[in-house]
Amino acid sequence: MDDMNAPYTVDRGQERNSLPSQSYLDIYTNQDTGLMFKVSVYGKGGVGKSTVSANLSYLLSLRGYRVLHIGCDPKHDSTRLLTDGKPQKTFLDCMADKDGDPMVSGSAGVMCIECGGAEPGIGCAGKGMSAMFAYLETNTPDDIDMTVCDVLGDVVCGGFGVPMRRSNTDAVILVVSEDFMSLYATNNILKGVRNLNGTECVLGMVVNSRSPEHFGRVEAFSEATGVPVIAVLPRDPRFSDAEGIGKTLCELYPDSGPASELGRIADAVVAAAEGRARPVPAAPLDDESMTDIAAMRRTVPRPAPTGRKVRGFDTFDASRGIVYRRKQAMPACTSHGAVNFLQEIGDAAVVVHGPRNCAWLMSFARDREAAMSRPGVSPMRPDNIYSTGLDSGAVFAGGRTELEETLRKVRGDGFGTAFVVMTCTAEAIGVDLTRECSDIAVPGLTIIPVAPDRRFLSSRFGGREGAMDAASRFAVPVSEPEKDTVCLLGIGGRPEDDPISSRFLEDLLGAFGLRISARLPDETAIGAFRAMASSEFVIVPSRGYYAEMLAGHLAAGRKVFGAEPLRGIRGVEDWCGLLRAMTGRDGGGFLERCRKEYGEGLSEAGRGLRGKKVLMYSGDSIMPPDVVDTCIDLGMEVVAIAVWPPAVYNTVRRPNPHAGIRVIEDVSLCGLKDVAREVGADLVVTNHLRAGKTGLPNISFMTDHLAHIGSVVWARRASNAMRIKPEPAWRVRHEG
Amino acid sequence: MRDDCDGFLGAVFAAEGTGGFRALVNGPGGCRSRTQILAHDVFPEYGGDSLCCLQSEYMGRTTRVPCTFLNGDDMVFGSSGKISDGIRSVAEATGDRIVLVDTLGASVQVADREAACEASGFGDRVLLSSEDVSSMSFSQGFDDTMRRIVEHVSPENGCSNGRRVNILGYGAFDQDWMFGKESIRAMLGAMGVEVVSFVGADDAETIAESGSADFNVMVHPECARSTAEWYSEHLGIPFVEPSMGAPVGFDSCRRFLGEVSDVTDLEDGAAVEILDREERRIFRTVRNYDKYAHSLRGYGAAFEGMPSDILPLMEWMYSLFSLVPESVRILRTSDPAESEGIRRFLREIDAEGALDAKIPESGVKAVFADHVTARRRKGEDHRRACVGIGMPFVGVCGIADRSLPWMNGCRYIVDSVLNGLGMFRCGQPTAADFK
Repeated sequence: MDDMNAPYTVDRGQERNSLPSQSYLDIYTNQDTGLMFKVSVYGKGGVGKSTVSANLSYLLSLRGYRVLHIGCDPKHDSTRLLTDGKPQKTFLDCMADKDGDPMVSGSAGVMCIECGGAEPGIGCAGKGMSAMFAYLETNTPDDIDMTVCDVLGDVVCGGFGVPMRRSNTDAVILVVSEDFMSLYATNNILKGVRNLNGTECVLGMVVNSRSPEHFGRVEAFSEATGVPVIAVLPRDPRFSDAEGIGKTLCELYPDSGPASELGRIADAVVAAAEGRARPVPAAPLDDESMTDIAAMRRTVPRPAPTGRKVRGFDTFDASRGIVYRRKQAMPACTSHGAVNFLQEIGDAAVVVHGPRNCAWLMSFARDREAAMSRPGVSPMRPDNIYSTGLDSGAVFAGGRTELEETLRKVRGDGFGTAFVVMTCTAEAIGVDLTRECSDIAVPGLTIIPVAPDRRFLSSRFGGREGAMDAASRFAVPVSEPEKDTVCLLGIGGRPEDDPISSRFLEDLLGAFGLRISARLPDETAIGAFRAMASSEFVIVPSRGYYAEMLAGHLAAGRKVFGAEPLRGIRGVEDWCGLLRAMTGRDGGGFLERCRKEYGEGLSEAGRGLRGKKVLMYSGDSIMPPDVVDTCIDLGMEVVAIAVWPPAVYNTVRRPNPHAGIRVIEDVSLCGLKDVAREVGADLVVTNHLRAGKTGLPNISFMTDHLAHIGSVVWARRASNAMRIKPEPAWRVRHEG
Repeated sequence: MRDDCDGFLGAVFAAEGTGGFRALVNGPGGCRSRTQILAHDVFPEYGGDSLCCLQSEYMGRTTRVPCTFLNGDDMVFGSSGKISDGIRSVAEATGDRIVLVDTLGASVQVADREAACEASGFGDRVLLSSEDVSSMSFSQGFDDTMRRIVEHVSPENGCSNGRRVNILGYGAFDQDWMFGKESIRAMLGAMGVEVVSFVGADDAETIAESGSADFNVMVHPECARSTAEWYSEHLGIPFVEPSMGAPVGFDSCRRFLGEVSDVTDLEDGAAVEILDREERRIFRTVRNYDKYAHSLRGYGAAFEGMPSDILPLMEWMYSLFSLVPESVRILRTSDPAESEGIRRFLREIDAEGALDAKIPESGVKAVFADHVTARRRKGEDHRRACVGIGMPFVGVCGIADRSLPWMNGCRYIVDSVLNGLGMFRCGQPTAADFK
């Protein structure tokens, strides 16, 4: 062909391209140019890719090229025709055993490598493929001129797309039959080539003929996609003979008709390698065009739509029922919520089935929280988080061995119960956790799989619901509950973190003749779940979604009492009312004592606050009621609630419960100063870190303790805020 | 902490520790959120409000460790689009170069990262960490990524004067590394050696100048080997590998100075004199509290950490306080060659059984480990001195200097051991008890 840029087209009736009269080998050898021509053979499963590619490798080798044949099918049968029918040790087996050479020399000196795969249905073969190509980058023998890559028919994931990437393929050969499904699969492969390669790299189709009467379908497809037919292989029993003894047909019957036709494929490859023919770009068809092809009709080529490239950040948090808005992407995790919940159960281990970093970072986050909550106080939280330590090798093997070893270690460390939580890695490779946990037997260890979320990676507290379910197996209600006992579900915080509040809670319940049997899910033990099940009462402070979920999962069969948060003096009043209703007891003057303490505390702590005007600034129009109450009880006036611009979540605006207080929506920090001036505020109450920019006295909503005790401390801080500078020195001096 | 971190974190530390580079984590935001907390702790300084965190959704409203925030849809339908968009967005918002680091979960997708980088339009400002970074140890991940960063910056040979060095294998993984840098600079400065760049704890500009160094000096060899080899191969800069590990403790500092002196031909006498003087001063204090120091004699010690920290510390504690290693856990590396020095020393003192042994419930008076573990061990037995020698640094803002190299490290260790013992040794106020 004279025109080097002309598309390579070989029609059945045309004269085929002939080999050049002069060998180009000496200008094309790898040793001289450092180049290597890479061919990938694709097609629907069972269409004959391995037969075609093995024969192609053999023929190219006979023509003087140094060929590396790469089998990419997990069932690893691509090279057997080049190795006398003997299966070679696969790359992944070598990697798993850390032993053996994955590359062997086959017929006509063709170098052979088989990727192999994990057990069918286990692990991630695509990841294995990726690992093999990484290996080949540095381990392909220097003298290789050509690679022939025999690839699994369906491009099911990125891993199986690796061979068709621009860096891995110069020419794609598509093996087809006249069946529509074969062409449909081929069209999908073209989509993959377009997405992953995008260059002119489709050399042509090889028709492994099964029904010659339907050849028109292939012709119509070829015409519509522009992919030429480079060879048509007839049905021939000699293929079967050759396969039976583990040889290529070209080796066994070199002068046969099929061998001659296979030679045309080698011609095409050599022509492309030498630059005498140019492959065509992948131009897959849309479904409508493919319908025409199915009917063997010529079609107007309509390109298949391209895939969506960037998906959104607006993400639905399935476990909390909120949508994260753009600029605040949801830090999705499949296991954070589960580990967070289960790690509190000190006498059970939490096995994180994933890479080491997951467990390490979760342990770090937990210990960091403990250390910062209780600096200098010991002991720390339970040391019960384990990792199965998945890495690339474990990923394509399925991770079962690592899970089993870890569970044995857990038992060896003395734990009798292990919760197993899946990370996104384990989920992505399709680990069947329920089956694996039931198959693995470790004497003395109860292994509890934690069910993953129904929607993959759709929560920042992923796995929490499954964790609650898993733990609920220990909370089996008893027929005779223990009298005067109360289980607190979701009160939050550990008693050690705030002994003042804990003492108050015990005093409050004690005043009504009750005692706490368990606090869940605060730092606890399996026994606490049993204690919960035998408690006479279960109280769930209304702390929102999780407390309710917790009650739903753990309190089955028990009578659950909802309570308002135990905040401020109104919280004490609410709780006393609830406890009175639950027990029929009057609390022995407990509420009156609290009211007295509160009144005295405010009059002492809240000096200088009476008559001051307060502006509250928050992301929500609903303010902490205890702070609002405290302001009013101090004789202050809450003049307005300014609400931040919506930026983070699509929090549903709830009705303003603070009757008589004006709400001003959509106030940026820059606009806060104007609002403060407008309403005549003396004090800004907000958790915004830069509120000092208003130049006004400011203080956060934070109350350190439950009940009225926290209110009195807050009043003291508010009073101090009127005297101190709006911004501390560290904030304003040397800034930037 | 039961398990060790892996190469993913090492890669993030290399990128985030190099000024002008950002680690763009390709993975779900959950992986990033804790990494970002850790980064917040190990990079404790912040100059002021930076708008970049608001200009790109991939920054997640913070200034460190941007992320592609993959969700379920991305994992199913592919992440190439987000990689391209993330690179473009972060590069535009920060002006920095990007190191793309895959989480293991994201790597299962086997996205075509090269093509995604190219499609971002910022391909020349992006470099890829190894696809297999989660299979590496922390130190390998750090070293491998650091080498790629150096390659990307592509320093050239410059004007050298025989006394210029780069420091390799020193980064934010080292305790209070900002102070540590100053200590190392002071240590080498005392013998007339100038540090051109801390490769791994400096900015890209100094790496660009690092080709003018005469030598590379490794502090933590396990975190620097391939980077050192790159310099040697491409720029002909030889490297010094300290035989006793990092300059932690007086003995190792002396050896370190001697080895630098050997290759640079510069006299180390002045630096050694400074060191000797400080050692004498510390010993005078120790002698004043000799009952405490003496009480350690023959007791066990436990060590957890990087081999290049553990080896010098273990040898020093053995000679200084006669503390015998009874539990040694090597972290951050999976290469047995890196721990050969530790094995040799344990063989020499007939304590081979200490390697990988659990800490005995009794008879151990000092534990050296990361701050979290040290705190936990203290909680188990308050009579032990439990000394934090590495990250993570729970609840520590990095305001005081507790870096390990050079003299500050010596003071910190001795102080922590003697003041960490839960014991009272006063006795009667007689001349016999007080010096």
